[in-house]
Amino acid sequence: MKPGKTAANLIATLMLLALTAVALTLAQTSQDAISAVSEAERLLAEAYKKAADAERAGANTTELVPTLERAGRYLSDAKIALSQGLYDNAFAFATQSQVELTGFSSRAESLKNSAEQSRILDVLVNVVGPLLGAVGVGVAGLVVWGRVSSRMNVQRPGDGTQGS
Amino acid sequence: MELKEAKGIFFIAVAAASLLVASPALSRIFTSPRAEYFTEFWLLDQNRGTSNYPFNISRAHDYAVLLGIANRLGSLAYYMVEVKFRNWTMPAPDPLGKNPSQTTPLLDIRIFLEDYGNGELSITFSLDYEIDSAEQRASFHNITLNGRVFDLNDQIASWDPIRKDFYANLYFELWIYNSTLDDFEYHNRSVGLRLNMTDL
Repeated sequence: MKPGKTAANLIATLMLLALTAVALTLAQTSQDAISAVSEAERLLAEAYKKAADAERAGANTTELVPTLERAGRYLSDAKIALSQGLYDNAFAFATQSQVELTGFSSRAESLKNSAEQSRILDVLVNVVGPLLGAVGVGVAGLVVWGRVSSRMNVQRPGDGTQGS
Repeated sequence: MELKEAKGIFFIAVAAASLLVASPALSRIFTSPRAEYFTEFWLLDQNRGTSNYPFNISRAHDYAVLLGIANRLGSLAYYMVEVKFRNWTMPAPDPLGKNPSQTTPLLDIRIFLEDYGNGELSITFSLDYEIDSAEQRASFHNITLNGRVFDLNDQIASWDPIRKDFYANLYFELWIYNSTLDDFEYHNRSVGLRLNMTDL
């Protein structure tokens, strides 16, 4: 084989290898970005469901909403970057969105638990208590009236109206 | 006072006292349930009015509108606004608002609102386009939305002889996350702007 031809073959092989490596890296980057965005999307939906659960239990979710908003903004940015082929940016924004939601579930869960406890106390104080109180007032009224009327009945025979 | 009369007065007083004591519980039991659950979605001009919407659009000039959402659904809601741009040949939003248009969104904006919460977003946009007078058509190069540039792939708007404009439409569709479906569904609301390209 001629030395010139061998060198040309070697260069062609090296170029092919380099192109393959670049293509693989790009594919890997785009795949990573797509996975990160879809994971961020899933986490945000999960976080929303946790917050909604807490709200249904009666928790005040005002303190949770700004975190959801921030994570949502990063996710929107990630999707824009993805649509424009900026995979590194998409990956970074998606990761940032996920970072925002770190510890969110436990915060929502704790708010939900304390809301459930407050709700039990609230039902006891504002529903069960007044209803029992009302029954108590009624029963007390009956008892009082029973005593008063029996005293009045006892007093009647001796009120000076004896026959001759 | 007769015993019978005294008994009547006494038990009326007892009943009144019982009702008074039970009133916190009764107020919960007899509260009328909320009848209407809905979302408001609106678009205002930059002065919070409806008389000065951008219409005649100069090239690369900034225009602003305010997009508003109010949640009256009775619970925390996760909304997504899809921002779309179309020329008159592309699919329009359903006039009855039942279906979203098939146009690919330029961007989506995610908003979380508590019950009775309102959100208002400032949307600033500018259009880079070119009008070919000979061919009587405008071609759109890109749109800048809140500082981000989106390629419009040289979409064409032909001269509309009836409306007498190079018609384009910037519009916003509202979606809501459905926890049961685990996905967004179209919330049957869209607002938009009709735009006329003026720079020759």
